Amino acid sequence: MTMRMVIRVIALLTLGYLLLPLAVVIGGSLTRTKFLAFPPQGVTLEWYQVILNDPTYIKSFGISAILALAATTISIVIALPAAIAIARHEFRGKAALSALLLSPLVLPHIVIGAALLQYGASIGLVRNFAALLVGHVVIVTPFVLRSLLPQFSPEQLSLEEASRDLGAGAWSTFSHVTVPQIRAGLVSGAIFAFITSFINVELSIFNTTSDLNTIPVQLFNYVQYSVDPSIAAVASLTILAAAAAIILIDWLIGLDFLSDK
Amino acid sequence: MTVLAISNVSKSFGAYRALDNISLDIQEGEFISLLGPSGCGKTTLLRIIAGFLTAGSGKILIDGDDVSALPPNRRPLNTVFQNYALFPHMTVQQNVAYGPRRAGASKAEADRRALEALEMVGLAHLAPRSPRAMSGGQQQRVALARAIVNKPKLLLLDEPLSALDLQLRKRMQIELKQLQGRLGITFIFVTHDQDEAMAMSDRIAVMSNGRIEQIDEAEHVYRRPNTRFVADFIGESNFLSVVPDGGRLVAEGGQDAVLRPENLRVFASAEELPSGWQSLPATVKAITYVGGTSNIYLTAQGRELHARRYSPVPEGITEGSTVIAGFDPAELHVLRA
Amino acid sequence: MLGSRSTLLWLLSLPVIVFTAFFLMPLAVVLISSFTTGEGDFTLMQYGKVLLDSYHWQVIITTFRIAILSTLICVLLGYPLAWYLVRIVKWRTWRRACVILLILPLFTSNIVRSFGWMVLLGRSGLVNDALRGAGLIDRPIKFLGTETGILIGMVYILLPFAVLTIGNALAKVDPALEQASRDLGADPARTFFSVTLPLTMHGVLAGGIIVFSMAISAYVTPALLSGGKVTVLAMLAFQQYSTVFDFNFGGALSITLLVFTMALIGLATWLSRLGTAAEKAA
Repeated sequence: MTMRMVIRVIALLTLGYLLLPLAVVIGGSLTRTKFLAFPPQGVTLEWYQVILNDPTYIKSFGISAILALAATTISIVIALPAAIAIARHEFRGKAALSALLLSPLVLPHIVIGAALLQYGASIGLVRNFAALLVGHVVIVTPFVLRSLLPQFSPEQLSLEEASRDLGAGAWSTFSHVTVPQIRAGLVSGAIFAFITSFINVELSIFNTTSDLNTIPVQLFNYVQYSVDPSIAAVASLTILAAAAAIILIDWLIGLDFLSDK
Repeated sequence: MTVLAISNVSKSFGAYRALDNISLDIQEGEFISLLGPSGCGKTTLLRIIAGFLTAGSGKILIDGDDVSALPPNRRPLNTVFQNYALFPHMTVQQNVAYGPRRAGASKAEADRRALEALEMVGLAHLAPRSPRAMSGGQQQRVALARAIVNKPKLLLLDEPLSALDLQLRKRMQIELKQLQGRLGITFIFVTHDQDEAMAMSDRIAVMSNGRIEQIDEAEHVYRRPNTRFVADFIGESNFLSVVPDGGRLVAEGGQDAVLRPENLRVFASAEELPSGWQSLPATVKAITYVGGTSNIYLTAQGRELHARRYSPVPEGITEGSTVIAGFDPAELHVLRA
Repeated sequence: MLGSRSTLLWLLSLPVIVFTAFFLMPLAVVLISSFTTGEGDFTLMQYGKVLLDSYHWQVIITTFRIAILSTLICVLLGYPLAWYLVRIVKWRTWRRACVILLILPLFTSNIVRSFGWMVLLGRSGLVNDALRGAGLIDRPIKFLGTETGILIGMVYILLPFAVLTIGNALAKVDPALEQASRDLGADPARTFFSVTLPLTMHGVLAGGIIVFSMAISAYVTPALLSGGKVTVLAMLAFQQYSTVFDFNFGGALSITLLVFTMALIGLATWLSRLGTAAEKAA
């Protein structure tokens, strides 16, 4: 049982390590000082007022959200048929195809970003929303594909046959039987895709302008020159938004995926 | 009236011929079994009837309409799958209501019919449960309810009892037969278990190597097998060689004939032989007892013979003793050449 | 039913078109420009510039050292945490809270997370204050602008990926197998190394590969925590595209980063196959 205690201690310390920077950011955003202090000196929400009155932040936030939503939607449209083809069909070049579609997961994003910039410049796909979107679709599609693939199993074929047998057409079977079977993978893939897009710097940084900026790139540019409580306030807002999103997802689908039951 | 007509259906997978020119007419209200060892083509045939496979050639007609080109969802039949294929993300009631819903019934109507079907299999009280939490027998009944709820013309059952234990299997055999009688639906039952087929079927189609070897009433299949394969696959058989007219035994060069073990008697001496019976000298190799039944294994003229009796073995017949094996020639069934 | 061929064509056309147009072709453009001079003639000079310069080798080695150490630490910390979440925590609400805590950092950008560490690791940051308060050090340790600082930030960012992948593998291990091992006389440690670890090895490797590939190509965290004093390959490549505008040399740096990454991932995959083959042979 002592080993159990050791694991427990390591685990709790690690959880603490994961929590600490977030606590610092949120704590720092509340300070009354003009510089970032942790623990905060005094408590105020004035830094939040400052950034919420700054239209550039609001705009970047909107662009990031729309970009992530669009990239996730398109990536599902691409990854779902690919997953069905890879999981359910035999064809030549299958291994090569899945390697191709999954490779953005492991290739340096900065290289993909640079490549898209250079290539995009030759076809006019540069420094606009479409250029951002194309890059994000390429890097988030593998997240959806990777979560979808393990969801397909041979047993589902008999469920689908049962559905056809009971009078459901191909589309009806797909929506009533296939999708519920792969739902967990679809949802978790979509979540990962959305987040990956929403927090991306490496790819966006090549195609953002002062007029078309995503929130992470804006933060990145700012943080390199100054660290003040208003940045902590922006960061805190993204943390709170993330926490709200996670709690919502947990409530909708349940995040108890590490349970051994 | 013929509800299902299978006409000249063949199917190949690559070079392997899974079904070889199958023709079969099934009457309304019939309980018919497709019986054969694994790989005989029975499941392939069932899947072609259901529409999950397309026949290489030939036609499937239901009530006279050619359904060969229809997808499974447009065929007026339902299937009970081998592993039940219950939707794990739905409750029992939702599973059973699935068919009516797809047929366009309102939710209330579908639920009502689902409950009705569940009532028939005695599971209405488990309607809100998840099928995952149920025993094999219960899942089986849910699968059955789901398949009959739309009142199909034909019910296909793909080895539905094979996952159940022996006791439950016997009980389900009786229930299935009763249910079929109540519903009046035609049942096509795929099995490799001869006892199961014998116990339930009006007719049995014995299949081997993609062909129907014989289709007949259960008793006829047993008493008058068409081929050596049928005689061997169904029940136990002694194969003898006989002269076609008169049925006189010969050592070789005759025609194959079947004698069931219960029709072979063993006598201590030739005097005990009833008149008109045929006989041959034999040596007792082994005697075994199963319940009230005794099995006597003999060798005669280089052949292995098997006699079964439902009364004690007479004194004087022991392992190693020389005896007379005899039978009434009327019980001998000569196979078609 | 639709013919299998036409269904397949229908399923694959969109993924293949999108990835050819916006992934393969751009990479081909980079590859080609890495072999050309500014005037468009063929040359190996760009790679010569990368590989014959000791400064560039130093950057490559630093990049790999950080990536390999991050991966090792992530696996070593991630396994116990995954074990804790899957096997030790019995109270569902607490496990849920832990999972939320675990994925919360994933939902926030690298910048926000690195930014927290910039504050924590500063000269008079909380970490130095705590160490000094505990009497462990006299003078503040310099974290920012060192590899240690980058490593702390990197592990922090990549750890959840390792925990989630390992945890998923762990949750799928049938407890009956471990019970069988105990029943056959193995103690808990033996059971872990002979049964549980081999059965979760694919999760460890998958997690390791994700962490490694993200670590080697990381740009934001090293850029923010290095204070310009430590340079990694991704930073070098980015400079060429964003400030120097030398797409040919930048291309060569990108391809170098790509090749090294793929070589190491290939090696890891090969090792795991070797492991599986050895298991089968045993």
